[in-house]
Amino acid sequence: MSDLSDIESLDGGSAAHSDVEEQGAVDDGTAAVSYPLHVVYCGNCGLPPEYCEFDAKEFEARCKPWIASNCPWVYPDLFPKGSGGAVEENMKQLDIQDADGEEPKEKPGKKKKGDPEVLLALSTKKGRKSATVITGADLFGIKLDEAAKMFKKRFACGCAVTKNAQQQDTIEVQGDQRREAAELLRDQYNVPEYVIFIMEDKKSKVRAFP
Amino acid sequence: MFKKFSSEVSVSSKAPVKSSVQRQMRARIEEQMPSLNEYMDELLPKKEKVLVVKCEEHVSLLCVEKKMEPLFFCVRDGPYFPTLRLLHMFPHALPRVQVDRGAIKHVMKGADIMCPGLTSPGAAMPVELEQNAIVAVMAEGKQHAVGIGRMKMSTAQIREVNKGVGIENVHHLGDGLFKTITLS
Ligand SMILES: [Zn+2]
Repeated sequence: MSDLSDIESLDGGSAAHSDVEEQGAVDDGTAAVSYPLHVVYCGNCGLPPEYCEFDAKEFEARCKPWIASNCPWVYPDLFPKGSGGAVEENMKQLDIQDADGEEPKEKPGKKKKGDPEVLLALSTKKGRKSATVITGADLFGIKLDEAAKMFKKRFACGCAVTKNAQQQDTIEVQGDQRREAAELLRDQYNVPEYVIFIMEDKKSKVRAFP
Repeated sequence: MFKKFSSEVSVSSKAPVKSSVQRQMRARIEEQMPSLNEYMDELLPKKEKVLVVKCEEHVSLLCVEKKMEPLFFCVRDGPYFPTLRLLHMFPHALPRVQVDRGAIKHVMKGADIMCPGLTSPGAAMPVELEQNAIVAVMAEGKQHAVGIGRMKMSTAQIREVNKGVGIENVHHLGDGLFKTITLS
């Protein structure tokens, strides 16, 4: 990030995703940010991950692995988007989690094993009712019960944390909110666009932000 | 101020405040941080018990009894400051200044902010502020505040003098208060 862009963001000008909070004042519907902002703190040192780098020793030993599997986009130089680095680190991390007996992640056939992602699918309920089921948000440091509360407010509809058939915790929102929820995950929770996928029907999975 | 703070050793008493006092506190906070007004019902709900937690060095912390997360603090009868965690959730609660990257590690160790760290190319003071104003200390290239400070000089003086302490470091990332997620 250049000096100039920082100063711009301070004045509230930039639209880059790290500056989402700046758009909060503009209430233009789905893209607007609501407060309180959800801030992820490093699972190792407790600081916002962007500040982990200032304790070099701790960063190398313990913060980096956590960041690699939770928020690699904070350090794009270390974990370039779409390159092997982040994904490999993620896989390593997730394998360790699996070994520790933590909930294994869903592994759809087409995706590479261990690639964390957020999936928004539509499930049909009794009659003509439907619900949006969000899987994997917890992999990006999002507290599901807090997020559910926020969705409830934002969409003015029922929303709850439920377990799916694979015993994963998911967020279930009433109605078809796939697109809106994808935007909210991106804008409010800084989930990177390239990990958000929408199930258009039972079989076809597409990028939410191609 | 909070370098060695910990909820075990620094707290001397916790007491609920009367609802009339709670209203006064709320009014003062709203006056000082008007951008928080629409969220005050969530932060300090009228129906919830609000506790004043007295600590060493005449510091008082405010929290809601149910959650026990420190939300605001003040020294003696001075102005209210948000905690850094609260500021992260509501980044517009305070006016901002930005230190350059070189200053970040010093701020994180509790050092006051020197004028050159506020006037160099990586720094910014986008709004004019008076002496004693309470500010969010942002950092070059970072999204979240690194600290909360009090202006020792006005922004104009900082530019003019450009040496010595410009901002007193009141509360910063990694200090005892930041590490105190709840007081229970
Ligand atoms: Zn860390």
